[in-house]
Amino acid sequence: MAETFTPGNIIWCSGCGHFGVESALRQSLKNHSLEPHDTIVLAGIGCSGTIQNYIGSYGYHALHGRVLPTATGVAAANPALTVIAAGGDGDGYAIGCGHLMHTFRRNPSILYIVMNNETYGLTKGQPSPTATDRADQEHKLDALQMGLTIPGSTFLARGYVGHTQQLVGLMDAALKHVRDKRGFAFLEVISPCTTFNDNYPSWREILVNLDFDQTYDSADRAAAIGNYAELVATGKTPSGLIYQGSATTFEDATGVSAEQPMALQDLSVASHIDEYYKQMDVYAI
Amino acid sequence: MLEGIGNLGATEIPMVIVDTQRSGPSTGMPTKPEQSDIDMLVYGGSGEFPRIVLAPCDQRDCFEVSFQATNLSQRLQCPVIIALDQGIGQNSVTMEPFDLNDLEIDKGKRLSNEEVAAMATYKRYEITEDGVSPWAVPGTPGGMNLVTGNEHDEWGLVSTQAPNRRHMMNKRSRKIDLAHDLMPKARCGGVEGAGIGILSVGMVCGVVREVVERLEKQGLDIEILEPRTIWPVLDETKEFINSHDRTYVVELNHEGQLARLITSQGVATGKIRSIRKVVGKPYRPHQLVAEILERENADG
Repeated sequence: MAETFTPGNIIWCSGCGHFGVESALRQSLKNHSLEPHDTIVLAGIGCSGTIQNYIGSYGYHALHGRVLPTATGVAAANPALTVIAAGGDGDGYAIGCGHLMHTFRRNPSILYIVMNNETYGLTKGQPSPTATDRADQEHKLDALQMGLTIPGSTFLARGYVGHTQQLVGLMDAALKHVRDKRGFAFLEVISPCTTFNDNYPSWREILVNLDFDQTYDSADRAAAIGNYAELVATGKTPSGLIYQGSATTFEDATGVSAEQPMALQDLSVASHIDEYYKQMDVYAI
Repeated sequence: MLEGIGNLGATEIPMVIVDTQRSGPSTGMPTKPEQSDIDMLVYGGSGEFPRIVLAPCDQRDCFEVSFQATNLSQRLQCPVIIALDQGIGQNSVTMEPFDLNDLEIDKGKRLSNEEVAAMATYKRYEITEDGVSPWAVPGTPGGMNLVTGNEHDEWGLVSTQAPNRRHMMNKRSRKIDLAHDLMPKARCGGVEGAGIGILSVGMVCGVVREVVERLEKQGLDIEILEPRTIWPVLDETKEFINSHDRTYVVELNHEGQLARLITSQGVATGKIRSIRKVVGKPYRPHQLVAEILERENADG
């Protein structure tokens, strides 16, 4: 067995929420008995965009905001891989927001973890689309609320690094959704930045844990939308599994196959030449 | 687009990009042809990274050039850009079926499962003599690696160390420097051995061939070069310019980008005569014949 890279030294500050995400991801990969070589972690640009260096699987560092189309491409080329996209709120909800909306519609079987710290941490604390009380008074975006209203979305959840058991549970459920080829699993994780936006204490008040609501039906999209809007109106937001449903996946729609992945197909002329001549015969001269 | 191409250059991911050039700048005249992206395709993108730019001569050549482009990109693990133009891209022709029998796919240093299993160490960006590293695709057992646009060490881990940086910049650029023999060669035509040359790419080539035939009947002999590799500028292109008294470089843009590109790579001064048209219409043979004759009378 070849010696491959040793995971790099973690660059995150002490107390960074991303440690919680990274350890939950490791735990969940273990819970699913996933082999490092069958897993690929793609990350965007930012502090969160270093997570792929620490896991030990295949890793790719994507362009700012473009982790979702890249991950969709990887999943299409080889559906046998477990594809995990990761990034921050700046990367995913600003420059990446268009891609997020279309990934909901497209529903490819990939996991997307957004580490939401309501700031651009790596560049030292500029307000991101999820920031509250900004000087320029732009209104705050809630990507899960947005996802609920986009047809094709099938898994919407929010975790918090302060609730580790719930986070691992959500990560397990998200990975299962993806490995069962049910489509796009979107997991936002509240992951505070201790250096530029330390808001750890505030989440106790803001997060309303759906796990404790016995009446909540995560399969009912319309009810979820109504419930969400009520919470937001009172300055709160839900955590836990917000919605899980079924919709045509990207794999179903395009016919990409895990049994015959495009990335591994035999491209030799010999194996395709008969088909070529058959197609040429269609044309009369 | 350039951000992505730069990423390919830094990550050493094989890819072919086709730019079907049309009149710019910006939205420009989007339904009209032009050849004005040459500078952008050769130089565009932040930082410096290896790339190849090819230019097919006609529709049929698109097949050959694309095949070679794909092979080159996999062999050298770099972006290969095909500079097409709207005149070829949106024009239909009827042609004989392609002869596929002699075509061989070049997978370069892509590793099989068995090859990775037999290696003691696998480094995605291993520094090698020819600059090309062996590569294992995702899913290959034991081949886990990090692919990143950050400057990186041989393992793919982010690095800003000076010695590593020097080695990696050299590694990437020598991939192309050492591979000029692999690049698609020019098509030749016209009157072999003539003192005057003419050079063009893309949709201009067909017109030039017609023009050279007409001028030959009028007693003016011209030799044709249609370079299919425009970056790097190959020795064959420079030798063509240097060995003719004068060469007309005919292109569809305002600044003479192709002429300027070739000149910048070192040819004798005064050898290139630039002919440009930028009004979104192809050359008509009679126009080009007239222009060449006028230049010949004026400048000799």
